[in-house]
Amino acid sequence: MHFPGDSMNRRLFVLALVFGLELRALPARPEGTDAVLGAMSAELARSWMRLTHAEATPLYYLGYEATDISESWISASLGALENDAQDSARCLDVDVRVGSPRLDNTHEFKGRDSWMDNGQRPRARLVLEDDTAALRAGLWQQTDAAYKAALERYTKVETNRAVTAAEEDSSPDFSEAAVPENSYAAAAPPRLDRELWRAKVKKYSAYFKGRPFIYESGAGLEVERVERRMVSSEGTRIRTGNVYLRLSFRIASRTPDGMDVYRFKSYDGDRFADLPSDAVVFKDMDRAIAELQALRAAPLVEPFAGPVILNNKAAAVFFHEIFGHRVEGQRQKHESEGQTFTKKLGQPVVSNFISVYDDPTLARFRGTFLRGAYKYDDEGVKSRRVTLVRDGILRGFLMDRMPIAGFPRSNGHGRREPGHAVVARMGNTIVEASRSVPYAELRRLLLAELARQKKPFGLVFDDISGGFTLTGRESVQAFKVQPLLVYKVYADGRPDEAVRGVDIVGTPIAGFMKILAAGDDPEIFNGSCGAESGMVPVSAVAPSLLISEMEVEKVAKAQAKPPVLPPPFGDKD
Amino acid sequence: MRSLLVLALLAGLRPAWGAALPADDKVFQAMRAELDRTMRRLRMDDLPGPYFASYAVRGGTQAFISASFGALSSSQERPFLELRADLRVGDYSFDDNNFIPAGLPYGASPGQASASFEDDYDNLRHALWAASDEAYKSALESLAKKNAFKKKHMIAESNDDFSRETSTQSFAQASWTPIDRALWETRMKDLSSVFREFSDIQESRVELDYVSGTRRFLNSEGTAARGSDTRITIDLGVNTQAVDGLRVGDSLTLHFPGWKDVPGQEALKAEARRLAQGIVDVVHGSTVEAYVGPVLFEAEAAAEFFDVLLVDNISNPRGSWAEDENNHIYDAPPFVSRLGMRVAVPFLDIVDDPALERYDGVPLFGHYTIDDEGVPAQRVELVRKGKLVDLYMSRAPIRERRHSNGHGRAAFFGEPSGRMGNLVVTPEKSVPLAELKDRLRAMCRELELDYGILVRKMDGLSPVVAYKVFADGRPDEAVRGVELTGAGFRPLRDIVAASREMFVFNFNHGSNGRSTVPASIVAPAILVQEMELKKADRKPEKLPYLRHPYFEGKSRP
Repeated sequence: MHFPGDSMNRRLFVLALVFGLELRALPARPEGTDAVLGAMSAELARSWMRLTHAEATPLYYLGYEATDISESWISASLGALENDAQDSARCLDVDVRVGSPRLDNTHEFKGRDSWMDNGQRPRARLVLEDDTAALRAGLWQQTDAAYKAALERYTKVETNRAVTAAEEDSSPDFSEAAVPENSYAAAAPPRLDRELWRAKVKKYSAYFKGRPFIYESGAGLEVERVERRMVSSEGTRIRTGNVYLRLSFRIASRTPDGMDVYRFKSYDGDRFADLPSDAVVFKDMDRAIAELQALRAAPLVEPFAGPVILNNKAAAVFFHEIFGHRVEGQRQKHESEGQTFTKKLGQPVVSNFISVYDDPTLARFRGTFLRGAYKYDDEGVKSRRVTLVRDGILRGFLMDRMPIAGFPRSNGHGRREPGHAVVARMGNTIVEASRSVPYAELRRLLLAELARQKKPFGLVFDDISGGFTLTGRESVQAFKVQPLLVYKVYADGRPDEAVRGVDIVGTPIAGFMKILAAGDDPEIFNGSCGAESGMVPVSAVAPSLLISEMEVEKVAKAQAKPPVLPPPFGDKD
Repeated sequence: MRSLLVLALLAGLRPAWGAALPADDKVFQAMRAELDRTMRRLRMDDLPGPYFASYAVRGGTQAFISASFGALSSSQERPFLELRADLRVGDYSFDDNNFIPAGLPYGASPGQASASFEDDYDNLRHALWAASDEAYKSALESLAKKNAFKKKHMIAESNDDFSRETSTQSFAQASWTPIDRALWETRMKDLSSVFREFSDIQESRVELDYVSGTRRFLNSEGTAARGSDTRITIDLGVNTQAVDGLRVGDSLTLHFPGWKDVPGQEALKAEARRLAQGIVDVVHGSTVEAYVGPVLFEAEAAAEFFDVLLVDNISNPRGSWAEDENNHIYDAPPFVSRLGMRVAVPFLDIVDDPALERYDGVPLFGHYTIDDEGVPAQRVELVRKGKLVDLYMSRAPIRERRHSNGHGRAAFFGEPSGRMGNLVVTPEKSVPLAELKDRLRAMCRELELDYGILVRKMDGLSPVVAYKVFADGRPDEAVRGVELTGAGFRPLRDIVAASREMFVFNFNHGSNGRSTVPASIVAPAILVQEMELKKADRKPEKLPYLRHPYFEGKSRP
């Protein structure tokens, strides 16, 4: 999982997206007069009629997805505005399938040519206005390009299949058409009071002024509305949308030995009422400042293997990265994948009191906004709850319309960022425990485990950021999550102590089977997840977890030195 | 002991960068305060501090509006402020510059950032501090590597790295010109609808780029400058395929220093139609297998001719040492060794004069008063009676030229180097354009050629819009898919005649991996004795399966 605070680059921070969601049907426009859908349907019908048998290889599926993204963002640093802008774009994805559902142009390249399979397409744009002639001109041009590219790739697929060994999983490339979905709803954009939010963001960012150990800081608000329209040769006709708000702040510093440390906090929602009061923000800022100071002063961790607690949010990120990506459908099929879980169906993969499901239909969890919600996926399939693990046993995978052995149909998890080919992705990944204890009890259990293992201390992971999870065969089957805030908990009752430079090592499956206990404190992580099909908004929910053994080592040290001079504000020159 | 001495010396000096700056300019105050701290105190461990530092800050408003086929594609506007800190370690004779470390093919580019557009003193100082720290550490690293490189290759002597120049101060009013977005959205949409008249064009776009604001420059030698400008660029592009499937396209970029300079809507639409018609001619034109004979370069093509054959060969005269010996991006250009030699026909004089704001009433995009190193722009005589007499100089000296001539230029975040401004080519003798074309026909008859070649637009040395001009006076015929070959430097010396009419070409000049700078070329049409053309290597592609939906069922207009 990635989120904007991961990058300490000012500009990147500013461009990061905001999140939230709730669909409200616009009373406005009846579907019939939606010019964009109208242009999409007209051009689709024309192309479908004339292209299906234009070449020896038949066109058997054609789909359009137009995504309107409107964003506003305001950001400030040290009490002054650095960004105050808005932008809109209408992106187009054309999905063309030639050949047959059994074998088509999207089929995986194997062997030497597998690197050609990156799924990335040039990001096409359509005009913003509802002008039929201009919309159809763009649709025509992109369809022609996509159709030609599909024919060319199909030829390569055939050749590739002829020269490489047969695949283990011989499922078709595209699942049978379900009953086409027809739905029309629009996301109502929340009204942004720019004056109010400029003042707020400035005020928040000014709070970090005059603290010389903070080298970089800022606060920002982002408001994003995403509207998606889909039509397909199977009769799909959908308009759906989401609204995402995000208020966030970040502070960064560097230790004398050259390690970058930072704290980041975001608040997500789909209406302004979801965002916190000033009092809450300032309290969180105080805490972040204290944490940053603690991190600067913290010693480097020493290599360690022993019991740990993953605090709820950290546990959510951990599950998303280490478990969630490995149950994405395509990873069970592609020959280049590690297929960690492919043969584990019906077998225990997690401790037996843990269940995991992914449910994009949930707009909120216990009243709190979830970023990973959506009504229809990017293949026009209605989203639904999928049980991944029940009582420790692996029960299912996240599926798009590419079938895998034993799973012939989509379960509404085909997702993408515009400009990418769809793959199966997470939405709201929720980890549940059938028995749980209060957090204080979880700590007592940790101390008991320390005594049992005769360890002088254990670790509590309070904040983790996701890195890219390597699931391929070529790479070591390890996971990379970066712990940001970790405390040592001593067996002898000494106060907890922050440590830094913690790097988790070891094999992933092992960790899941070693969960000893769970807290009764499920918490939400809202973020953006990057994978083959780009960045998509996601949520992960988990309680705090006690794990009997985890292995950590010291992170390779950065070479950069801290700034030579102190920051100018307040420097007694 | 040594550091004490240094401190004592510093204490006795009033810093040069304390030069008088306009009162009540908060941006300058922040720049000066941080520059002062940087020069006095930025010093890591026992390593030397910077011997030179400069800050550039640019702030204002920018907007981008685009339209396609009669509808708006994008419209945005935002305030901005960005800054660049350049710190040098070592000394004027040998510093961290003019060197490209391995792994960074275009060199390092530290010290760049954006900051608050509210001209906020604390925010800007903080950003300058961070940028200076980064630039300083990067400079130290570069200098260490450059020293090692020098030792490894046993280089005993080299040119100075940085010229000493007289400091200057110049302060124009800080100002900016707003954009009427609603008006320009309407105009861009309307302009883009022109392409609905051309069924042969597959794809078209119209874009408006606008930036207006103030730049400030301050260096540790006491140079300070403030200037404001507005740049408006209207860019039109068309792409399609010729009847045989070859991809063809053309674009037109118009530059204006103010809204009042932009022609009326009908005039703009006429330009769009001309662009479209040019490419429609090409779509239905013929090909040329091979051609050897006279070529007439007109309008933009003449400007491109001088750009490729002259400007690129006299820009960035100071080559850089590259740690990676396969990196030749910043090698010295070939004409450095031809100073004093004849490079063009004797009837040509060529100067570069950035002070020119207009030529014959047409605004020149390459106009500037202070270059990007804070040196006042100078008129430079480059070619006198066909002989090369000067080069574009920044503050990077070469053996032949020890000083800047006010042409140290770069895009805001680029590395300044010797670059063009307004190039003006003046022929001593000239004839009306129509006569030049007759002369081309006459040459063809003399050489027993059916036709000669007229090039109106080029991309490098690939003609984009070109015509066959028939010896027998038949109407001209467009050609496509050709390129000029084996040109070398010879064509500049093979010019046989020039037109009386002068053409102004405004463009963003890019040069050998360097950033682009606004530039203008003013040149006559020229007739070249002999050039070679061949069919381009590009392969045709399949035509679209379906007709453009807008034109389907409609007859060709």
